[in-house]
Amino acid sequence: MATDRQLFDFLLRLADNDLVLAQRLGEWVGHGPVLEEDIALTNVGLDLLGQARLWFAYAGEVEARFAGAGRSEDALAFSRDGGEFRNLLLVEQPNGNYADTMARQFYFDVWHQLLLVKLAHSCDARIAEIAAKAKKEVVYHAERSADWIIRLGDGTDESQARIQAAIDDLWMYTGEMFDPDETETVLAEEGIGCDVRTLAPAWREVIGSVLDEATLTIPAGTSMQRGGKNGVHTEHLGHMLATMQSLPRSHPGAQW
Amino acid sequence: MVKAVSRSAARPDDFVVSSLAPRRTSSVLSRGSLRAFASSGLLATTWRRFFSGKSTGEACRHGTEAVWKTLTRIPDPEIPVISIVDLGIVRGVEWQGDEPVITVTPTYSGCPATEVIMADIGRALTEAGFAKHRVEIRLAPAWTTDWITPDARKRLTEFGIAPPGSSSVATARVIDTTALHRRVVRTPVPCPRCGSPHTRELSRFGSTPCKAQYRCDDCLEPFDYFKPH
Repeated sequence: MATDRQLFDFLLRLADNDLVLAQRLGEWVGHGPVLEEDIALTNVGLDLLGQARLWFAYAGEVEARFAGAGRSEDALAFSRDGGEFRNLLLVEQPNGNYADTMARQFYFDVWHQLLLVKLAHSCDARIAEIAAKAKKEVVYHAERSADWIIRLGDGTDESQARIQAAIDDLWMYTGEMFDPDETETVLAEEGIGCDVRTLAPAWREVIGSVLDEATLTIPAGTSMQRGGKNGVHTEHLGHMLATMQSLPRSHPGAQW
Repeated sequence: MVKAVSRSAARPDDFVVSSLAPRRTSSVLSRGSLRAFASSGLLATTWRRFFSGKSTGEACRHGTEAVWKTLTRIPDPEIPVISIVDLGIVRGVEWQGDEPVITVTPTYSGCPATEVIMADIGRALTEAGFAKHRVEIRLAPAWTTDWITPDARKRLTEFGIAPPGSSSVATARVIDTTALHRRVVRTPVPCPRCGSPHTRELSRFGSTPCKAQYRCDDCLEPFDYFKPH
């Protein structure tokens, strides 16, 4: 029987993936290679931020059931330390060049879409309705990032070299997406979450076909990094949070 | 001076949008509503008289029509040629006791217009005499551009925005995950200015999250396309 604490933990993972990636995409504002891309990345980030808010709001309600009081969206986003974040290591990786950003986005978008399609059938009605709404947005993200992988891969020698390097460098952060821990296993058994292992074949198929069309090589590495879901992060998350959280931490309760 | 006062009553300046958290819609609205109610008296008083003089059923029926009429006059903040009712986000108006409950299904999760729309609803209803009201958010079924009315589609075109095609293509893509492949068949988007079908996508996002940027290859004008969702 899944506890509320486990459900809370699960919701934080969904929320944190969205929030952390939204923040990373927000870092591109004003720095996009062309205006259209600046706007596109911001809009994808905006969708993710909106989804994060829906998950955080629900997480706060679940937290109230076992902790007496639940934290607000702001408190969950801005007052937790790095070790309390539950996002995948993939989404906290720095933006790098545009190929790095699009490779990160591509790996995540495809997984995210597959996950939301499953969660839209969750027996937890709230999870099902948030996922059903979010997946409509994410399918568009996945199409867009796949377009970019092909454009960069099947582009110039320079763009191909950069996107291949990005695809290779980030590969080691993809294993964690299909590696369930106890929380995910319990929630999957009860039909609240989903067995993330079952997402792997479809993910590999899509990634493979897009990389193939992009004239890129599918990475072969099998050594995978993990830990994000349990709060063990790469050094990059802390730096990102320092920027993201500085204002609400320096001026608690600030409004404008 | 009088103008300034009445404007501040209609636009409560205590509506605070924090960086992330939505203030609970109901509490923000009721705070603004109470203040506006206190100083906007006439319409509200008229309405209360009307309400108390009728049987509950009749009053509700008339009241429901009045609420819909009010909502129909609220423009979308980013696409002012269509109202929030045209947009299909108002899903219902029901009465609970003497309080109308308006159900709203938001468009995109992160659409910044959502909070503005919520504030606009509270303000418009208060001005129309419904100081006491509640706005409820309903997520399921998720909003789709199929809910945009035919008349609104015509007005979008006249405004220079190509209206959305059927969302069934997008829905099919969600179910068939292998269709993530980039060679998705896209139906042509006719130019809202000259009607030419020879148009191309310049960017998958336009001036707002719900639109894409297109250009007509015949009249060469760029335009926004309201994406099917």
